Amino acid sequence: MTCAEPWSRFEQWALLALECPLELRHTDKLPLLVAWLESACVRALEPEARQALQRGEAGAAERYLRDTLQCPYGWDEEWRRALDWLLGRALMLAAKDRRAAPDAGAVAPVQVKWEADEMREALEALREALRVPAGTPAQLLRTAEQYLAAWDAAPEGRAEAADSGEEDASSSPPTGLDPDVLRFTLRHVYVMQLRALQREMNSVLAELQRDTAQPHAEGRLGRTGR
Amino acid sequence: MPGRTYEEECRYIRRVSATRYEIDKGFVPGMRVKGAFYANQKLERLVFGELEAACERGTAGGFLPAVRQVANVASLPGIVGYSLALPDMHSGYGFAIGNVAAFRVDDPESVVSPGGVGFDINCGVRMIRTNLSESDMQPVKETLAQTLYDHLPVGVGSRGVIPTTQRDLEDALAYGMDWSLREGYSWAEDKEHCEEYGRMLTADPSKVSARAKTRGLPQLGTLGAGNHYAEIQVVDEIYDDSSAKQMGLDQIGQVVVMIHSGSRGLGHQVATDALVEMERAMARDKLHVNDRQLACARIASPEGQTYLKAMAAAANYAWVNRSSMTFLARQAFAKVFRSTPDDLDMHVVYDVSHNIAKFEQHCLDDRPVELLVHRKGATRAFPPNHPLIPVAYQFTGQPVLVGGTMGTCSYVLTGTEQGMVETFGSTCHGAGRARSRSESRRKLDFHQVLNNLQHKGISIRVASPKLVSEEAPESYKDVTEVVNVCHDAGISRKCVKLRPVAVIKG
Repeated sequence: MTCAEPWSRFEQWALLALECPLELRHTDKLPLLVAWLESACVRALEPEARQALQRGEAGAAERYLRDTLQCPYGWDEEWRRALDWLLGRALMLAAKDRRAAPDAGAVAPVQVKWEADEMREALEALREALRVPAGTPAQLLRTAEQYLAAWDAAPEGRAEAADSGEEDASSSPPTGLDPDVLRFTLRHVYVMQLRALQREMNSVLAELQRDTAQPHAEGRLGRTGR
Repeated sequence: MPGRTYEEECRYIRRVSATRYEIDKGFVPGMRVKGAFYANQKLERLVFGELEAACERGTAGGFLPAVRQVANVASLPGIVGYSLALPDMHSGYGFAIGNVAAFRVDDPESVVSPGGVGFDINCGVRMIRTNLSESDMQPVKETLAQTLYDHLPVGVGSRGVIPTTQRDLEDALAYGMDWSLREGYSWAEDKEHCEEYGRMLTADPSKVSARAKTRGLPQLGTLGAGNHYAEIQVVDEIYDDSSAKQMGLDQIGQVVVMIHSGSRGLGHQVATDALVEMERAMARDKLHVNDRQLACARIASPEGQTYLKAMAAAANYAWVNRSSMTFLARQAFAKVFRSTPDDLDMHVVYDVSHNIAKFEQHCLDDRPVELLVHRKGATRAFPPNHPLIPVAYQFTGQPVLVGGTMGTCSYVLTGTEQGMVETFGSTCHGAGRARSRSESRRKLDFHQVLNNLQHKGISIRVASPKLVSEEAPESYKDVTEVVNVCHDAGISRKCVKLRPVAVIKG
């Protein structure tokens, strides 16, 4: 089936949310889109039973919707309503899959560029200050945070230790280490993590815009210039 | 106070440092906290001159002097700290322009006042950088000024050129810059570099009257008139290299665009509607104020809540308005330089609001307290490491954009810890008027004003030339003095000075 009608806003959002490949987001590829929705999200058929759909055979999409899914809308008569019904079902099943995933609810780690010059320098400064020769950046940050937490939690103990010349290994800094410098370095690393997060957010927003934005101005609407 | 001589009035005002004056309780009836204002010796003459004139005039007509307005605000229920005024202070409606006042949210008596926000809700300034230098721009300066003028709808009664339906308006009121972003009029980074990320989540378009929406619909994406402008400027001086670099302003002579506009007729109508409602609420709740223009309602009252939700929607409208003009300005530059906004690196440096009320957390007696901070003609200036400023500015402090007057310089400042302690994280917003509009029209010839700009090499395109004298530099205080007071007081730091090369005005 081919048609020149553009996607509705719901369809645009659904295809984006389902991460449908760009090459299938065309209304002249509807049978292949139905096949992709079945194999990626709905999975009502055994893999080997999907071949007719995937080959785009005539009538395969109609049979699949009517017989397998009991779609209330006929593909030939009301293909758009049938597609929206299928997209709704696919979204529901995708959300169910996501909830069932073992890492459901976990926040995806920010893709921090640990190897970037600025980040590497900050981590080296931290490693040197803490005298921790090995370990991943995450371990190093945890060490620094634990040290600072202990330092902040026991100001009296620190003063007494300083008076008596004794040092508690868990809360005392390596000789010569200024906690303010450590705090600043940690903050620096933290802000770089935030920057990475912000970059990711901006790229998601920009990706979204590709499907929603149609900016334009019409000079006839107002009076500009004289 | 009527009946007191100027000398008697002055006994209530003490200079407590080189830049700060305090107004003692008793200056006007019922002051709950002291007043305070910032000025140096040059600016104080204007403040005291206005007070002296008012004492001589007695009870006859005219706005109250700003210093008395600051004191009247100090008498409002729930106010904490000081009723503050920044060095660009001058008389306004109820509150002085340049007035900052904070009210405890956990105090049931506390009020919100539309006069503390102003009629142009979320009026503000946005700066857009470019990678162009003055030498790139000079050969096409007149063409650029004209093209910008051809792209931006300006002047009284101007209509927007971005197609906007009623549904679009409702979405813009609810979503602010998220609407601009969705529709493609903003870049993702624009939102990041905007106070509140360009959207107040408390907005409720259903609280905005039909009349306000009727006024707002055709005006979305227009500059307006009065002191609103779009200016092409160049970086003239850099005081803080690292902060300037972080803002993408690192070359003397670098070209930037500054847009000063607000919520147009929609914001004005929201304020007008609220004032009517609040007068009724004041009678019901037995709220008494020193000046009828200080109409207010308890924060938790239906009228207070309605205003705050409508104000937030108007604030969203103002961000969309500035975003739409950013889109048009980018198109104008791309056309003249036969490039793209991307290739011209036309990123938003920051977007500040200087007429707004916001719920913020501040420290009072070493404890965090939720306050409703009114800033009318004052700019938020949060310090480094504050969680509400963009990650890009975590080490510099919030950029503060201070527009000068037509033909004079503008400044970029940064927020400080001192400001957080003394002024609820606020600093000045501009030069501040020194003469009323009518006095400017009477005493200044608009031909002369335009000639002076031409002499300075500034291109100007103006929709209503006869109104230019109202905005002449002579009508305003010296913005450099204003900025220096804030810098010397430590409530913000000077970062960059900008010089205008072309002005577009309504």
